Amino acid sequence: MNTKYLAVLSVLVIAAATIGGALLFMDQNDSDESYAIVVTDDAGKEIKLKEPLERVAA
Amino acid sequence: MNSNIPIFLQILGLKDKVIGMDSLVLTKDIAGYYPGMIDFGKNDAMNGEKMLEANVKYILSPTSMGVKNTEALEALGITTITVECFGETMLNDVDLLVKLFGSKNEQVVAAERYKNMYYETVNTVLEKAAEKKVTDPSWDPSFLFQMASSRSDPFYTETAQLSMIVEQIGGHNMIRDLGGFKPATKQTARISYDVIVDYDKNEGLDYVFIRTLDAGAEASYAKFLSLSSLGSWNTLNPILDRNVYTLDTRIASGAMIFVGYVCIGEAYGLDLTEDPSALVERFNTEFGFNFSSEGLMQQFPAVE
Repeated sequence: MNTKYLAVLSVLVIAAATIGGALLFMDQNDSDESYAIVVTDDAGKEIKLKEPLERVAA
Repeated sequence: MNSNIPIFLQILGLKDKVIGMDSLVLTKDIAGYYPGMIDFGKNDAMNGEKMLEANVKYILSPTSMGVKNTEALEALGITTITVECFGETMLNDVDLLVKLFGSKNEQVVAAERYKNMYYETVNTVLEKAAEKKVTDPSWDPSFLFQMASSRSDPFYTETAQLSMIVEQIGGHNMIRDLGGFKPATKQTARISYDVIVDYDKNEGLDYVFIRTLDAGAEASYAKFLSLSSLGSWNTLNPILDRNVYTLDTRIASGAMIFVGYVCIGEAYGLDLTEDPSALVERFNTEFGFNFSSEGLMQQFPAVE
């Protein structure tokens, strides 16, 4: 196989992997879509929950 | 903390989600509806380790009398969620609680039932008040509103929620007319006996409302009278006209404030058919409480 072609392909694979990893990272950490509940409390604090509250102190 | 959050959690059918409370709430009547609670300590030093042992990661707390050691708890992975459950955010807080617990149909329906009861009552009072203003455009009674439990600043300014509710129905807080308090930045203020008597002589004070102490209406009225160390209140118009009304603290804030609207409307002589005691009974029946429906509002001086 052409060495130049292999080098370009490797760069593309690495770039795709990097971008994909970054997107995956963003999805896990920053996107509200990964939380079931996103609300703002009376103190103005954003509360993000993956599942509804179950056991609380009041 | 205070009783408002546990009361609304019961209204929404969520009391089984509560594992424990702070020491102060456990001394209140509402604790009787929550058997077997873990005592997590005082609100200024809530016990995070005990919460982790009970697998509690969230605290629902108001601002006033709420959790004070939030940063220490946050370091343990315990989040404090501020939910006032009274005042101007109260109805939004009902929706906030529903969302936090997953917006299940049972909670959505209960929230609607509560809000219907609230709006039905409050709107009736406000409609009757609007009718009164149409028939008597000069109707603008002045009032003074005392918080009997406050030692330092016993009177509500116009920025306090209860004062705003009375003004929403009709009239104006006499503190609005006192130059020294403008703009009122605090919700409560101290006014001397002389200032009240002078205002009454010059402007005419029409009503005095008193938010009661736990000790009851008579003790609260006696406390109002005791604010005068110089002389007698006997010349004050609201006393001469028997226009001093105590409002039980249970209906002066929180879930049963809509009953407070009716009481204030009655004090103002609005043409209301709603019976405050019957409203409390209905609230009890709908949401599983057993609050007393007696002594919600009392008129002073009492007839001898």
